[in-house]
Amino acid sequence: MRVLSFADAINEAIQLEMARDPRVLVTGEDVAGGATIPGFDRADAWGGVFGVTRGLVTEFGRDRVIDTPISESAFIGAAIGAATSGYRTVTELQFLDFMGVCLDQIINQAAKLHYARGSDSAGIPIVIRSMIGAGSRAGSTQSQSHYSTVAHFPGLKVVAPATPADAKGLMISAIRDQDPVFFLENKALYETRGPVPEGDYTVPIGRANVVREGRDVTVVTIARMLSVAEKAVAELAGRGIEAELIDLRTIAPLDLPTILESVGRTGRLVVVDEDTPRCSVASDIVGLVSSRAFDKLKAAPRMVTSPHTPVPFAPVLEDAFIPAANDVVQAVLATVGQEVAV
Amino acid sequence: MNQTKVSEVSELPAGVPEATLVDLYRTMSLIRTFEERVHELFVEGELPGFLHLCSGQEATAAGVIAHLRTEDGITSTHRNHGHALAKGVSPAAMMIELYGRAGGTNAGKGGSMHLADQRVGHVASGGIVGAGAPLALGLAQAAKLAGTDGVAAVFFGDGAAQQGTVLESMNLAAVWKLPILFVCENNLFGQATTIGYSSAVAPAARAEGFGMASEEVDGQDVIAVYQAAGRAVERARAGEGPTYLELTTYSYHGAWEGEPKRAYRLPEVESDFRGRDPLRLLAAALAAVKQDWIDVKDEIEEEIEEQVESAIEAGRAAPYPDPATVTEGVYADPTVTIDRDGLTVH
Repeated sequence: MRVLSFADAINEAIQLEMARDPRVLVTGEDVAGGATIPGFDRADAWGGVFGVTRGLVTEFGRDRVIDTPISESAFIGAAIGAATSGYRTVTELQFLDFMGVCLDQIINQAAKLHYARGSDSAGIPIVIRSMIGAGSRAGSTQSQSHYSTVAHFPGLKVVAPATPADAKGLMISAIRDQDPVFFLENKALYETRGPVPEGDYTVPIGRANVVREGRDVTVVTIARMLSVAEKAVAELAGRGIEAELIDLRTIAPLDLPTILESVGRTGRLVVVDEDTPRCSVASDIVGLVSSRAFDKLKAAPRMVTSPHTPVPFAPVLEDAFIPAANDVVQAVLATVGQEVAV
Repeated sequence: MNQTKVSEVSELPAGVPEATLVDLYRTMSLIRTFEERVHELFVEGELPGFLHLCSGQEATAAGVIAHLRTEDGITSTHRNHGHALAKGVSPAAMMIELYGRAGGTNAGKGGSMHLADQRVGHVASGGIVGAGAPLALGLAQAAKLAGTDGVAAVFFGDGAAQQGTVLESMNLAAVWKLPILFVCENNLFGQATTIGYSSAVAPAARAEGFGMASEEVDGQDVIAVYQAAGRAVERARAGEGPTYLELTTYSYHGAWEGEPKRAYRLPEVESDFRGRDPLRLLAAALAAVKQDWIDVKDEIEEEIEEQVESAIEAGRAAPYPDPATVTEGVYADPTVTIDRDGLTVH
């Protein structure tokens, strides 16, 4: 199968949907690029700081790929308003850390409008693309992965793909969805490459993916943590421990049934999450599994997360912040060891 | 806070047909009657909720919305009953919602502050001061992209005029040259804080800094509001971009129903505004030029009283919502099923 980068897979999904549906728009800071330069309409327009939307302005023009001032409340709100008029805007909140400047439009308008208006509308079909992920030496305000904050609000959907193929399929689903979808892109994944089917396909929102089957322990991962856990799982296999690997893909609504089914067989759970641990998706999953499958558990569930700190800058500190494969190995050994010790 | 007194009107201003003025009176009378009855029902303990009434401010809703078509969307505020009624939302559907019953505008999920009816272009309202401005940008953007001459309007108060969302939106509206009206209902107070304290300039003075046309208008004088809004809507429909209207007015019921002792409101200011009540001003103007006005006025008021009473009856008669519906409609997407804990159901 053809191989694409994570960034190009997202680009292709948006391109296909824009070609299919004239109501699909792209807005955000420099999503086209060069709008301030009179007559500038070239294919080498930026396409966002990491070039994810590159080329779209050339194909679809500046009426549909729209650069914005640095006014996140205004342009995210505009996307919501346009959604009530039938447009589907893929808007970019450059880094998830920036949510503080526009949170009201996200949690009070996008999330609540459909319900508070009596649920009889066509919904609020917008996609908010946003970058997460530490490791780029950007410091505390352009690196965090705090998706748990948006996942808290009823009415929002939150997806975080781990592979180029899922990124494309989830983006197509997100654009076609009737509800506001947060589409989280870990910037460490942009240059990763993988097989991506040609043409039009969707990956369902609200469904986790069992990446690898295994009898001994269930390892649940979010976004980039899949590749971290894959390294750990390979090492554990060498020690005779077979881990079942579940890539969550969607954070909200949470696909608990798939996790419970797996833990029902393995009896052990490790959740690997780049977010900080308190009130997190990881702690939520551990809590849910503990309360709903307590009798199935052979050992206490464990979390592998970042420390509960802001993201630091110095490379040595930042590398220590991000969960590593060895942390996953140790967590799995601890859950297995508990049983061995009994 | 000094207001220009409106002189007795003895003839109608050019370009405003008499029938339009009668319609404006009808709209304002509906708003006043609705709000006064809601006030009574709240005081009597019959209506639940947190109510922000707009008695005294009828001219702003009526005068602006008279220029809008059904498909021209508005966004509004926690004080939105007047905008809703002027936009054509059913008084009965509103009253059913205010009663917390099923079958009203918002299925019991919204209440007074969140009334909306997309079908008539009352797109959104809510309890976050200044939040409607970004949303209205999208309505205007959609109209522009669709190539129609549709316009959008956002209503907000002098309190919201100090909010970053409104200022960001003014800039974006100007740079995108959107067909939108920023309608600032300056009722002198953001809760109990005066506009003189919260802003160093009149809100409309900021429009120039954003490159936006603006007008400051006596918001008690519905004819003046109607004329200014007409110019703004014409500009928007012609593709000439946004306009900021600052309409100075007064809320007879204060910030909210049941608010504590209103020592913050100066009696002389209140009596000045009540002396220039928007309904009375328009009635006087019509009486001066329309021979049968007294009969027409009586007829309108009688009709509206019946309409509002029947809306109240509809509210009282409507069933309560099924408690099971609390978990319904969080998402619009019919293909996803979630349980009460927000978890996917396979």
